Parts: sequence; structure tokens; C-alpha cells
Amino acid sequence: MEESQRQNAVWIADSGLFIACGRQQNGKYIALARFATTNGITFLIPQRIHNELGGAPETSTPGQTPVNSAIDAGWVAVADRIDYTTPAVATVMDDVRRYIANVSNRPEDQIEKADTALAGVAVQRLARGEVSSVTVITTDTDAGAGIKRAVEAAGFEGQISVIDGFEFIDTIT
Amino acid sequence: MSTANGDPERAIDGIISVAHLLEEPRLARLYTYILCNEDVTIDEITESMEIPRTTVYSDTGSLVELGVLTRDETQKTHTYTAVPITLTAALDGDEYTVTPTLIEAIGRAPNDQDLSLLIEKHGISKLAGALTYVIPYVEGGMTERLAARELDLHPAFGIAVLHALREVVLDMREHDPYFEQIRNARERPHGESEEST
Repeated sequence: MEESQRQNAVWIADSGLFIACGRQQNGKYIALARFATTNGITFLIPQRIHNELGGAPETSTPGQTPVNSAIDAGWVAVADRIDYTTPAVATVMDDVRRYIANVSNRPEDQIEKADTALAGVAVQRLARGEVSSVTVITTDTDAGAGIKRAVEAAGFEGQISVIDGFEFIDTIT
Repeated sequence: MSTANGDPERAIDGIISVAHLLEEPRLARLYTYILCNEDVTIDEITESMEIPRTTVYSDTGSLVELGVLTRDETQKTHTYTAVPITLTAALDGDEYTVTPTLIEAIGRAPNDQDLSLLIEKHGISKLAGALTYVIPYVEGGMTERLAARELDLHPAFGIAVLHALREVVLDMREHDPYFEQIRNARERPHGESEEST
């Protein structure tokens, strides 16, 4: 990875990445930490996802996934609150909601806000010119497709990539 | 053997056999192992499943008795083959089709913290319900959080359950001859007509 690319790119991670790494303990979580630290990457997580990971039952995988220690160690960070006044943010989040509702055959008001928050955090960084590209890692194919499509439609074609979390884990372990 | 109206005795026996598999993960695991591998011997089962030989003998015997395994005694070394099962339960308009994929999920639960927690807290019926969401989750048409919400599970725990069952679906779709009969929650939410508690 080029140094310039590294500085101008942001990685946004969905809950599923951490959960998939933590399931059936076999070193996947350690591999994720190693990938982040050796490449100088900090995975950004929306506030909603941080809350989501924190509230799971204690004996479940997410209840035992040490995201807070990853935050302390510096390879995971919680994103600032989404600023809906930033141009494109609200539109992109609405588009994601509409896309997921359509693909899942459900009404829009049932779509969870964490999915749209991933897109909100991504487009906010791009719209403010803080980064030139965004990579979203998710284990949710439909949410990932909706996020990519909505961010591209807001004028950021070529600046967002979505990585399948399961495939990503296979490449780092 | 079937008659024009089907064989009622066979149907009742089938219900009892499937109920046994759903309630006994060890038998469930053995059944789907044999289904996926076909024509296996006691030695092969003992070795690859790491179960004591005496247990394998007694469990294969139980499964033969239940009618879900057949034993080929024509060779010196007996081999076992699974009979693919599908059972549709319909109760006052609520319907579910049990296929080997659900049996496999039951068999994995004791070694999977998320599946065992799901069954412990919500019962096998929730596992069966979750499976209907994993079909569209894997094939496209269902997001993780929407599935968790409709299953009334904490979102992150729901995602973990989907991940566990995703592995079951990916492994079983080529071995379960009735895979297509599993209900797809994209078409109709799980427990749509029921009051969510």
C-alpha cells in the first residue's frame, strides 16, 4: 500500500467483521489486530455500532469480543457523531434505507439505523474532503451493496469500495 | 411404500424420528455426518467424529431403529447410509418444513456458543426461525440487522447467530436434497401473524 494512499483512505468496519473474527476462537481476531497494526490502519466504527457491540449477551460472541481494548490499543476508533447538515449525508442515508427495504422486501421504516450510519460516516468524510477514498468492510452483502451504490450516486464514484468481511478474513488468516 | 392417500403409520413414525433428532444433538450430528458422507463404516465414523466406538455402535443402532439410517449387511464390514428426511408440520395455519439442514444446525449447537445460547434462551423453534432468515441472507435479499430485529434478538447477537447458521447453510445446501423446501423469510417474516414478545 502506498503511503499517500494510506493517509488519504479511511477504513470503516461493520459489527459483522468483529463478530466473524471472534466466533469459534481460532486466532482470527488476533490476525485482524495484526493486519491493522502492521498496515497502520485504524478501523472506524459508527457510534451505533460501538453501542451495538457493547450490549450483546455476555456469553455470546459479540459479548466476548474485546472491541474496547482494540479502541484502547488504537486500531479501532469510534467515529464522531454524524452531522446531517453535511451535504449529501442525509440523502445517502435515505438512499441506503430505500435500497435495503427494496432488496429485503420490507417497509422503509423497519430498516435499522446502524446500516445507514455506516454510509453516513463514509460520505461525511468524503464530502468534507477529509479523505479521498473510503473502504467499508461488512459481512452483510446487501447492506454493503446499498452503501456503495448510494455513496457513488452522491458523486463519489471510484472513491468507495466495499469488502466482503468473510473473504477479507480468509485473506488475513 | 405409499398408497394413494400416503401411509399414515409412516407419517407418525417420521414425526417421532424427527423429534428424536431435534432433541438429541449427538444423534443429529451423527445423522447429518452420514448423510453428507454416505456408505460409511463404524470405523470411519469413530475416527472422523472422534466419538467412542461403543457410542457410535449404540447411536447408529438407534438411528436405524428410527428409520433414518439404513445398514448394508451384504458386505463383511457393514456400511451405513442416511435416509434423507423432510417433515412438514402444520399447526392451525402455522407451517414449518424440517429438513436435514435444521438437523445439522441442532447437531452443531453444543460446539457453538452462539447457537447453544440461542437454544438455551429461546428454544429450538427460534433456531428454526433463524434458519429461514439465513436462506435470503446467504442468497441475497435480507440484511443482518433486519433479520435480528424480526427474530427479536439483540442485533449483535443476531448477527453472530446468522454467521453460525451461514456456515451450516453453505455446508448443507449441496447435501440436503430438500434444501429448497426451507421457508424463506424474505417472502414472509417469521411469526408474522403472531404477537412479538
